[in-house]
Amino acid sequence: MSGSVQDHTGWDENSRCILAIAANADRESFARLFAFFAPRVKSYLMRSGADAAEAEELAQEALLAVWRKAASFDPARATASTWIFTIARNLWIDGIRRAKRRSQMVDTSWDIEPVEQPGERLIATDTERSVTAALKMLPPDQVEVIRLSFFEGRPHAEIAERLSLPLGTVKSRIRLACGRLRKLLEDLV
Amino acid sequence: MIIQHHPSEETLLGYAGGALPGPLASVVAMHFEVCLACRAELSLWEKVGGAFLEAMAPAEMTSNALERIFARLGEPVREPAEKKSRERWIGPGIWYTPLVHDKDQGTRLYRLRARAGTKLPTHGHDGRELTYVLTGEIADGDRRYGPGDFLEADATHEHEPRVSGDTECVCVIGSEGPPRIPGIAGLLLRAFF
Ligand SMILES: [Zn+2]
Repeated sequence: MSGSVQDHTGWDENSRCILAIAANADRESFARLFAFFAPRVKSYLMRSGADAAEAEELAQEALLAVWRKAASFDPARATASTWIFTIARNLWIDGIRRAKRRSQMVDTSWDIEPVEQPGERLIATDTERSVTAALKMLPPDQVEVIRLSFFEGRPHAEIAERLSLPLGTVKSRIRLACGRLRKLLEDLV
Repeated sequence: MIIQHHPSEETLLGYAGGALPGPLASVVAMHFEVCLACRAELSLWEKVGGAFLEAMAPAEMTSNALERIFARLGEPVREPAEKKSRERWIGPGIWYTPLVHDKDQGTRLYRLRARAGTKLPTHGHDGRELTYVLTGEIADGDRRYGPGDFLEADATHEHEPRVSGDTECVCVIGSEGPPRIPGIAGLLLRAFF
């Protein structure tokens, strides 16, 4: 058990940054994580309905939590991205001072960026690559309904109304998309 | 504990992505505590979340954001103060404990304790209502819900939960919109909240 903590070589760059924070309170590693994740956490929160100021504040809180909770990060159980995503999500769920109701859906078509962003991007893990690849294998209309369920969390009936689709179509699209994604992920992960 | 009723896929996805309002998410989280199957499903979707996060187009942070965090590293962690709430009698055989009321979202989290045979107050059909059974048994139509079970009010069906079995039932409910109780109990409840 204790030996594995020392051996960071097997883990991806992001995970090693978190482990370095846990082991040595390493600020340089934190700065690297911050540069990559803070802007994306902010972006995720804005997509979820936060305004820019609230998203900024919560993104800072999330990264602060990454620093504080680094010791509880277990790279064998979750990738850095998944771990940070859950931290940000939980902060968002618990966000008490949510100023305005998320009454309108954020109109953002879902773009999955090309993976390579030299200089800025840390190394993505195989798992995340797989998930990203799996998402790319889904037809866009299925990714769209997943996105709406996932980020907007609206009942299927409401999604149907927004997309002007019959409820049955939305339900079957979500079922199809979930099934395919699960299958792809189970094979990959 | 034999769990028979789980959150729907849309509820699980809403939780995984962070879209479910806090009080509703709390109820789902209680089910995750006891349900391995749903936890496995959740962890799958959290991986999707991680991938979504990586693929996000970055939003610009304020220029001194990192410095501001570095300045806060030594700050003591503030735990939110535990709010004490009292159980209230709201009608024959029913006791109500408010846990969270988010006025902006119009969402609530509360605990109900009800005697065997009691009809549970429901919120009507203007929002979602998620229930987690702690003890006892609830019957809704021909379905029975025991400890660990998750009950999701479906707007398309008549929803008339009552305490079945012969012990009292304790459950935690997250709802959009205030609970609706007919008659005197409803008046009492509205007077309290
Ligand atoms: Zn379950």
